[in-house]
Amino acid sequence: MTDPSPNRPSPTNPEITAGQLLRFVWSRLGEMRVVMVILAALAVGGLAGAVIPQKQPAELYQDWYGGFFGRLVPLLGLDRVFSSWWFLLIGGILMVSLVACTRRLWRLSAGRWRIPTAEAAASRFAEDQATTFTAPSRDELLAPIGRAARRAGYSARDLGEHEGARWIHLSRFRWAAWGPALTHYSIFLIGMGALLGSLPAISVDTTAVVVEGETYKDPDNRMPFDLRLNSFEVRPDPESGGIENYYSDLSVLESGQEKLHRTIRVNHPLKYRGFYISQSSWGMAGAEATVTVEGEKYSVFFPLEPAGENDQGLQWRFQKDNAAVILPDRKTALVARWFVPDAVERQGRVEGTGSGVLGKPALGMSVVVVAEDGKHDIRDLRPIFTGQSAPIPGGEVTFERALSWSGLGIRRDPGVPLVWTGFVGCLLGMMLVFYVRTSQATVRLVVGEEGVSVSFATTGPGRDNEDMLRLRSALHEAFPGAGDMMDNPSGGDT
Amino acid sequence: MTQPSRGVWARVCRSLPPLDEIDRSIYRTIAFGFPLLTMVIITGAVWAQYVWQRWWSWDPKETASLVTWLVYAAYLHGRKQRNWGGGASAGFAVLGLAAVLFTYAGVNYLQSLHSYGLAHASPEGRLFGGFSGVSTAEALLTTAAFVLFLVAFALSAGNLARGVAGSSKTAQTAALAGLLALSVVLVMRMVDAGRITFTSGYDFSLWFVWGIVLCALVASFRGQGLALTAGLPLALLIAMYGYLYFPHKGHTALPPALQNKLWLHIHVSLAIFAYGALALAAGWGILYWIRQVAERRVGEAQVAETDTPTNTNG
Repeated sequence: MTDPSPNRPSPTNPEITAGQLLRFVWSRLGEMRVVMVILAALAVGGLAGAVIPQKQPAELYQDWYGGFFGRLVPLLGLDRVFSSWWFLLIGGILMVSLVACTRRLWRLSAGRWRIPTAEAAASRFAEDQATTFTAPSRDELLAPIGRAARRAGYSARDLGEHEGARWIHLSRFRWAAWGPALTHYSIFLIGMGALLGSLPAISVDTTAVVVEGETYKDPDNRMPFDLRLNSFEVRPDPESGGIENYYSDLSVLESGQEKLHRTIRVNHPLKYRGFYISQSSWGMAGAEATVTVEGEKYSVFFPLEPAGENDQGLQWRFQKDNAAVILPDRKTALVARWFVPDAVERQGRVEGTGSGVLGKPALGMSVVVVAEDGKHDIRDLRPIFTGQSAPIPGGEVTFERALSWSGLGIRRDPGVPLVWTGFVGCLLGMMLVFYVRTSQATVRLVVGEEGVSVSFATTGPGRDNEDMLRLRSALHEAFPGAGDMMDNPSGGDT
Repeated sequence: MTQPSRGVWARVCRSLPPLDEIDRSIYRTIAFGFPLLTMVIITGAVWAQYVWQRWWSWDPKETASLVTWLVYAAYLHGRKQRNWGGGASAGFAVLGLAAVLFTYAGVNYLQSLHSYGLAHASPEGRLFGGFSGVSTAEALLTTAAFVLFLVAFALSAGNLARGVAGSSKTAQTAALAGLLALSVVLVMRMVDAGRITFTSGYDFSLWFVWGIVLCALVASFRGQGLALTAGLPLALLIAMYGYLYFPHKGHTALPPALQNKLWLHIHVSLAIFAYGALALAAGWGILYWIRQVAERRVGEAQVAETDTPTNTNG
């Protein structure tokens, strides 16, 4: 079969111009089959991104999926599906396809919404689907038709005469015809909002890990202020045994001056100059201790790292490469061995409470003393709580405090207003499409020798829905003396 | 002589509505559930924006919801543009439910912000944990509700096998009584926890069952007699999953991110109704396939019956 489409090159004119190609692609992008392929590709890509853990080191994929598939995952971008070129390309094609579909839907919606002229109504009138009956006089029919239509929830408009017939347009919730176009436009808006929010030049989406007492400065200078974390606290909820909330006491600094002092917590972010700063994560930064040896005082810091979770709550361990500190006398070294964020002393033993939060931290250390002959003397110190000291040769070590870090989500997304508008439009559009029953019908009155022939046919959507049936029966009831109706209803969906 | 297979399938054919009617039920149920599913995704995004200032994170649960949405969107487009019906309706309804179930339960096995659903799961994967963590009254009422659903289903399925159209009043009454018992259980849990219990995996399984049975009952009272036959098997499966997978059924503390009650409640309430409706649509899809098989078997049996004298004489 030959395709009469002018967009396609004919055998006699095999050259394709850029315009022709664009028109061809544009027309195909609005096609149902292409839309299906795009939706299926997005679904398959999304599923892969949901099932395969994202943004993991390449070695992990080899451990999980074996040599061949493990190598294939990063190669195909399956480890970063949602930022991979192919997924973004599918998303982009969907956006273009949406525009192509929406243009068509706009025309369709406008056509359904507009009240037709008598001529248009006549041209659309489906003779083979019409219900016809005869009535005595045309003039006496207009008022009862209007009343019957209103009773069934329709509004009636007299379109006037055309080709010897009188035309009446009946419609119910005509404005719902905009539903499909509104839904598609809104989804396009959501996509545009997402795109705007992902442009690094105007949006910010980062998590700053700030240790208590330290100040975060944006390395890219997109944030016109600094953030100082004064303190961080995990507050347990004694009633439920869980976490009440995570509190970060923050100072907003501009040119070193404090402009704002606020404590944020989960669900209660800080908004400052278009940026949202939210409580995102937390952890133990390390243990700070003071060592006094032969009258000299040194401050030491042992950084911590997470060590998983067990029935005692979150566990922390000292970083292997930073767990030992050689003091300036070059004869003494301190080794941090264990850390419990919340501990109690029972019968001389220090035990974790299992609360999983920073309460009364305890520190376990060893001291290594190097003798003149090079021999090492390693001694375990007794566990100490914050503020407590333990003796070491020639002095003592004091556990000053445990420091936490707070993960602060810093975000500025200029696409959010667009997304919100899209959400509202999308919901409204869907309500119109699925929950508002729209339907339209046309009545034709023709004067004949035996009276008036009244024909009634549906146009557009809602052919057989309950409202249309109600209208049909209301019209029938309006003319009890009329001749039998000759029903020829069409099938199809509501 | 009556052929037994023909007898059973013929009765099934008599009791099930015609294929195009089941097809319309599938479409209507999906058309009701799809906007709700959209609202679930949108309210989830608004909630995430409030909590993390990021309305979309491509978290497995979010992504799975989007995939589910795409499946139904594809079906509705096909229906509108290409007049898809029948087999496509049934296929998409069942495929859509598979996506819903993956969103609901499957992502618990993945790294997700929503893995709190596992809070009550047994770390050892132990099953048959009974009703640990709840009162005897609650355990008895829950059991009673599930038994009543089972009875309602047995009565509806019995009608199907006997060739009686629709569900009996007894089946409707049993399902309604089960729904009331389950509602009491849910109220008891809320009173016990001092909040609306939407957040744990076990709680949501109870709400999911509640949503399916409610949708099936409403459809059944609105004249779709076989809605109970369509919906109750899925409700019973979800109930069994909730019972087996979450041996500890008591309450646990809400993590701070879930303490934004307004959006949490809107989001999860909508999910209950959306999932309930979409599960019911899948039930209709399965009934569609059963009717198709029944028609084929009856047709084959009729052909065999017509052929028999010829074969005998020949």
